[in-house]
Amino acid sequence: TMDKFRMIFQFLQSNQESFMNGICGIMALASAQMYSAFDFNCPCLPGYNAAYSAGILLAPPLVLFLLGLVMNNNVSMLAEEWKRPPGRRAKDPAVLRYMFCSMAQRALIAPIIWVAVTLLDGKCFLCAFCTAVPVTVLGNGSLAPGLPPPELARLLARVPCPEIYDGDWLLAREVAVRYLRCISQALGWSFVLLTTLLAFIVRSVRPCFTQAAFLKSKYWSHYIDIERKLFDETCTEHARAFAKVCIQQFFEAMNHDLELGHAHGALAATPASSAVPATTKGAEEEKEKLRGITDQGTMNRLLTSWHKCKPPLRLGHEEPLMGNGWAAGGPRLPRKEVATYVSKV
Amino acid sequence: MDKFRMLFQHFQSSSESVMNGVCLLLAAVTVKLYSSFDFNCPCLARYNALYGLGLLLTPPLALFLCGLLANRQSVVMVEEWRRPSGQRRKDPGVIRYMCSSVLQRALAAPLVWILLALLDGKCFVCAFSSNVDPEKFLDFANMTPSQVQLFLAKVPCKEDELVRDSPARKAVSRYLRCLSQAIGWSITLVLIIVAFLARCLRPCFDQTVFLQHRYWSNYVDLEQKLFDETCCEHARDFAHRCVLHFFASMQSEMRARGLRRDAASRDPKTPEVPEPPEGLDGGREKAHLRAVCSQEQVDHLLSTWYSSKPPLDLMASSGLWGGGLSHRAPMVAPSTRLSQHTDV
Repeated sequence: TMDKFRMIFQFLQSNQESFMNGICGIMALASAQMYSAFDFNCPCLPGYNAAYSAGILLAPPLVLFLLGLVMNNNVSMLAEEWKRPPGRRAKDPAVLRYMFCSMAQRALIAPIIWVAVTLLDGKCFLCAFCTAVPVTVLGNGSLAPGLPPPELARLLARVPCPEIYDGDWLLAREVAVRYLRCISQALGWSFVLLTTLLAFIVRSVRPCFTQAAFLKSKYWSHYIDIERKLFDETCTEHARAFAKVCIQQFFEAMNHDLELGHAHGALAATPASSAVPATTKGAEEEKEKLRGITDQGTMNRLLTSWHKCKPPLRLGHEEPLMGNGWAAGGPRLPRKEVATYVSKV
Repeated sequence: MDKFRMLFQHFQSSSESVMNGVCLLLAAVTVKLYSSFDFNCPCLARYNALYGLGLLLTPPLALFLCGLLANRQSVVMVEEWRRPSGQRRKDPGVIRYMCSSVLQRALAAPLVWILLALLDGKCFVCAFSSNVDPEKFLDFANMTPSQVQLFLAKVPCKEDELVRDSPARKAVSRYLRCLSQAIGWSITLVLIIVAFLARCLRPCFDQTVFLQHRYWSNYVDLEQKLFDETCCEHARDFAHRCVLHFFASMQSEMRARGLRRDAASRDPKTPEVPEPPEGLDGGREKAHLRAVCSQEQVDHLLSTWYSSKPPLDLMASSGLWGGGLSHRAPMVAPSTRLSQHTDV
């Protein structure tokens, strides 16, 4: 039954990329939804318009990008892989680069959607550039030079706000709005076209260069991810078995105490035979899960060694890990032949 | 069905994923709560700030406490903090790790509320409308200061007669909302940058100690759960035997009464202790539960569990060489075995 469970788990994990793609799609939808739920509120004051619009155009994309990175578990994995001591497994910078690129690409999608939607909608652009509208061309050009610049700015700053706009004698509001929205939509579509083109080029041109190295990096980055997950899962299983056996022994010790008490000083049965835990199938299974690690110090050493000195990527060599080499731990001569996956390209 | 049960068990076995689920649920509840709350600014000079700030800060506090309550690990952490050392030393690093993970998850829902309130703007407009500088808006040139104050206090209420359809009100309201949204987005940005840096930079510091703390905090949580389960099992066993004992004693008493009618009196007060049928509750597997069979013994077991948890060394505990719990002084084990900090 544990095998079936493991098969299911591995299946879910083997499609790590499709899982991350799903998350990325959800975030893109969330980004569009967030924009429509957000109530854009242009201040309509000369100095504040540009600051507010720039903020709305740039801060949420940054937030979405970082959120996309934070939610991706691979970030801490990447940092861990980057900072770990080489130990018996050399580090491959190509793998790190691949992991970083794939994470960054996925995290970029939601911010791009936000910027595109903002530009296509036009409110942000209108708010930012309403004071830069060419009044002489669009409105009553003759009246414009007569106004002092601050007054003109104050008038024009109110263009995005229909209920407080009072400059109809100078420039019809609708005209300015249409003009700015049209420019904004043109910019929006150009942006969308540019990013799509870029994505297409990157995707289709890449197989022309270093495809072999790319396949290697992809494989080893998946491997590192799966290895970390399996290690965590094994640790949890071990903790569970440890706790079970610990509690069982606690109860048994209680048993033993009480039996000794009941014997009233008469020779109690020898410790070997009294309250010997029945060697049932359940108890054996638990002891197996412990894999020989039965105390706190050893477990701590195991965890330290996992970080400081990851095992080499070469199965079949039963290296003595818990022998004399244990205390030395880290500084062993890194044997070059075990690092067979370092790309030579 | 087997597979689903195993999957469910798996997701529950990692306490972190359960806590993440609870945290997300609480955040969703917060969003729903905010959207269904009917905001109602008093529009009176001194009460505005009180209402606005109160609504901005009190629900987050309540949500934070809810987050702590809903998280089982907060109780486990406090227990681990306050227990006597007994045979198992306490590691302050593990307690700190558990504390920080509990706090992080409990902070999610309050932050969601504060950010929603700031991005929506109503709280901010209500709280700070009286503090706006009238110089910024030319519409106030013709009003006396007291009139201005009255007007500003009524800005949050769109339907009030004094300020209905007034461009000045709309301008002030806009200004405040834009300020509120700017503050909201800045806070979001700062928080997300901090979260990102924390996630990225953590492996740069003390990764090995972190791995240990994470393992042992998960262990403490699992152990607590398993102990509760074992106690439940024991209680069930105990109850079963108690009930069987009662029925058997009834039976033997009735038999004794029946016999007494024919023969000499037999003391009905010596009920035979029945052996619980072997196959009924898995015989030998429950052997470790059998000896504890009275109220005082159970109490003694539970208080020993609290005051003197067994050491984290299974080989030393299993060998019943020196006698039981009461004789077991803190083992003179080689210091490397029970040491909590590695020698590497």
